[in-house]
Amino acid sequence: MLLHNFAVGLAIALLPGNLLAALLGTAGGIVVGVLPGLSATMAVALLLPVTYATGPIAGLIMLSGIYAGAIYGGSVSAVLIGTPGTGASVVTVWDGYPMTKRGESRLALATVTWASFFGGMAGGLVLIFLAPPLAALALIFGAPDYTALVLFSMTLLVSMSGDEPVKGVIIGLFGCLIGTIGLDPVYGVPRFTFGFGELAGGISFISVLIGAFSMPQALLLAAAALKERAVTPVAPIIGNERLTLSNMRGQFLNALRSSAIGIWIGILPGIGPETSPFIAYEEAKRFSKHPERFGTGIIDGLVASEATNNATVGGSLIPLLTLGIPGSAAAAVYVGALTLHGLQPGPMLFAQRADIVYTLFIGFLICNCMLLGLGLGGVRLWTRVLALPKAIVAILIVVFSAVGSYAIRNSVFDLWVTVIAGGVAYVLAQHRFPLGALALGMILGPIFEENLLRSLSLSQNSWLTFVQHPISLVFLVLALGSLVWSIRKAQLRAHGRLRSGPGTTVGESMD
Amino acid sequence: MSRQIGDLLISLAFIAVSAAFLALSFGIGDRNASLFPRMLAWTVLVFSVWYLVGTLRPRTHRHAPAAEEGVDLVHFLAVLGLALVYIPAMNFAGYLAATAVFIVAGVYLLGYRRLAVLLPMSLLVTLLVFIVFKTLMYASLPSSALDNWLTELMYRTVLS
Repeated sequence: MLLHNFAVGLAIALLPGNLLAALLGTAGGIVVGVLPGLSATMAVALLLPVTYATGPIAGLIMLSGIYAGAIYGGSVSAVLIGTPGTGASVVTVWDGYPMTKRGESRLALATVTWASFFGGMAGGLVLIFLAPPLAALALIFGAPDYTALVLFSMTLLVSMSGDEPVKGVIIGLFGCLIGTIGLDPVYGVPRFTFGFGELAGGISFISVLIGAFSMPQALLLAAAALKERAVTPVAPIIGNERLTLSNMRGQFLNALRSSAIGIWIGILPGIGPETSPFIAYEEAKRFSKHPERFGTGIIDGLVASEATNNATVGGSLIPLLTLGIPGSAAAAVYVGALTLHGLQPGPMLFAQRADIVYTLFIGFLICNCMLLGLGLGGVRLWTRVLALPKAIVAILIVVFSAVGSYAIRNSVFDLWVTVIAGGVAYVLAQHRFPLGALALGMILGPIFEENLLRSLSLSQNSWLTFVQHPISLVFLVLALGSLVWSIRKAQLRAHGRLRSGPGTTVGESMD
Repeated sequence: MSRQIGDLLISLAFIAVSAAFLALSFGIGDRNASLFPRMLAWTVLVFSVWYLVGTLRPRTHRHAPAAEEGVDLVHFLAVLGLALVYIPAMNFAGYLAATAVFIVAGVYLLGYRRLAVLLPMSLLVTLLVFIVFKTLMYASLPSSALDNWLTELMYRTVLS
């Protein structure tokens, strides 16, 4: 059965239209990723409406390409101009830019491309082999188990906001609150509609996300364009040293370890590819024979950073596809794409639409192969993208956001939702609110409510049902542990006894 | 506006919004349907008050400067205003005219003044998005007489 599904998936993924979707998605993702200040989540949100026309399979393959491409694209600017294109490439700067300054940009770019490919393929393969059994296991989950699982995922929101967990909780739960607007998921009772017919079906999740992730970045770029009118100088791609087979062989264990870290971080809900490079880099340093050379421009650091962030992409799709719970903010936007095509992520997706799931798996691997080809072959093109004036990019983001938001439901109301969400998100991002928590809250809130109400309904309103089910009990204990650990961590950070993690600055908090 | 005042205003806004949701949740007829929104509104309210108390404490460290610090604020606000006008303008004048004008005006205000590049780029992007959305996505865009005429012309060309 499994082999049959793979064969069907392979046959569909290799159709010319789907290959074209993979190519366009990956190239589009790289373009957005290369431009500093634009995040992978924004790339997925902004290009999501385009997938509307392509149908579910090509659309989802395209989104996989966009996500993987954007994460990779961020490393190009990290290496060439010393500014990470996305939050996931912050660590790549540490060794990539010194190499460029030494005249070894060709070697650095080849290394990040191969490492990204390795990490992406590792993440894809784990996704392929882990997701089906996990989905089968998830089929035994009842409503109380799901409620507790989502609660556990929600506690991870706390850890998203670095040393200010209160902000993560507020924005995450505010996302849940927005999700309650419209008819309730079980009884169909209208809530908070204020007489607007458009609100009966709820606020368009996609319009909010397009606004929240695109508009603030457009405004930040606009501010940057007004601040520094000159175009960013891009270092030429030079260097005689090439990436050799022996170089690559020496990095195999580093790449494997970093990929494993990335996949694990990706699986954990709420922690995305911005976090994993910091951990993988520290681990690579710890296992290295020459830790003192890290940060001076060595390929070990690049491999650790790039293998891990691309592996996170595949990892974050595992809880999304098997349980319906996104592993990162970009994966949360991915849910929007699935629902746009009438698909509900979760174990039933494997049972009902195995063709789509397995095609997506194969398509994900194809996207990573495209990434390798585009990365090695099109690097001069990506450096031209880097030279695009910020003023043009900022205004085009506004246009694409507005048009994309309108086109989904042909609604001017949605357009206003995008603008208001964008304005609010800009102010919140300036005050270090993690916007990723908003996306996760909007996704997790309705799932939590639906399962909570079902559990209570099945147990004649007895809250004890959550401790009577063993799976539910385990997740409740995990949720409590996660909450205690997050609060303790924040306290240690506040007292300066723990290094502050990523994802807490204005630019990074977009993810 | 200092960061502390900004934090204060945001916390007050969250308190007001969560209190409003809480009050409105009592108007929901069904007890079960109001359960989750009420739980959320209470939690957001409690954490917003916590956040408010935190903003009132003296700061021990300085955060990163806001993005617009050191920016030509007049131009920045002009672009912001332009983006807000763009939406009703699109509804009134149609996608084509509003978008082409918005791109030129917005990019110009942000300091890019090479009109020889800007004008053709604006037309090209506007048309490209129009064609992609209309012919590939079969999506509708806010339209005026100009948009309708171009759509008809496009379909006639494709059909012939």
